[in-house]
Amino acid sequence: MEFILREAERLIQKHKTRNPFEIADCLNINVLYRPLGKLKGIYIYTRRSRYICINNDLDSPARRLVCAHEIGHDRFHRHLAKMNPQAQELISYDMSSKPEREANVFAAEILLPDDEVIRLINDAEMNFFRAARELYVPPELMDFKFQILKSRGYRLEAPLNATGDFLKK
Amino acid sequence: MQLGEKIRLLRKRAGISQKDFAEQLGITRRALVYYENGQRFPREAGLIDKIAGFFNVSSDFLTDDSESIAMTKEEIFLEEAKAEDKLRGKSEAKKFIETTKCLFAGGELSEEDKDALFEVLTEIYFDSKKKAKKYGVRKNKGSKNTPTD
Repeated sequence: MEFILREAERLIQKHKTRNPFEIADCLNINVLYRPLGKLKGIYIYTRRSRYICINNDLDSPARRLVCAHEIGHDRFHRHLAKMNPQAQELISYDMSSKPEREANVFAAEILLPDDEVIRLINDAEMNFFRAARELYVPPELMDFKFQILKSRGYRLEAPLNATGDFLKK
Repeated sequence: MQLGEKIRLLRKRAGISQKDFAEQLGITRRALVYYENGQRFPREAGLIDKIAGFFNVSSDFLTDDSESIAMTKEEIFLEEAKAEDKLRGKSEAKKFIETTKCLFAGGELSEEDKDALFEVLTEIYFDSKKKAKKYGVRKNKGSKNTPTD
């Protein structure tokens, strides 16, 4: 968990942005929008070129989330996404939940700044779900952010317990 | 679609080599190559019927150029890859298809999803090849990439 947060922090500092599309651009990842049926997005690594393909049916908050999530795969699971028969059973949607969890933690850290989240949940008017809507992320991603904040010593009560595969819904 | 192309496609689908197929028909492999490439037309009496019988199609279907066999996405991709890179295209494309098959083996994808995904992967295959050409290959770790052309 710690190394994921460090990497997210490093990227935000280095490229001075939290916009996943800009980060992908800085990292020389090719981002494509194509029809993908039920798949939301896929990360592919072949011939030393990296590709993030995002389903073009998605609205822009969803695209942002998928892009951040796939950058997480690029950072931590590149070796799993090689296009060769030996790495067969390890491709993104088919992975065990650990890489998915890691990618989601990464996405939560990139898309949700600490102070914003704290500000929103200290607001008496706000509940968890409204805060998530306010920040254009699904509640599950908010839950990941809560887990991160807890690990930093904040005392929070989260109504959900998100797992690695919430993007599948 | 010409006779030769149809013979080649059907032969490949049956998973039989030129050598074995020629043997079955009682002709030389060289002759079969000529037929498949469209450089010659089988003149031998009954040979076309023999071929048609082997694949369970009518001989009219084989000889009528207006009759075509619908190629699968995979077959089209293999053709394209071969045309694009005569040297390695075929083996690389085969490996690529093998990988996509592994990708699909998860069993969570509908036919439509697989189609859509195959389309994207094909595009990425050619694109990454172009990029690899442009930037050259890494000879060994740590050395600078030098353009190959």
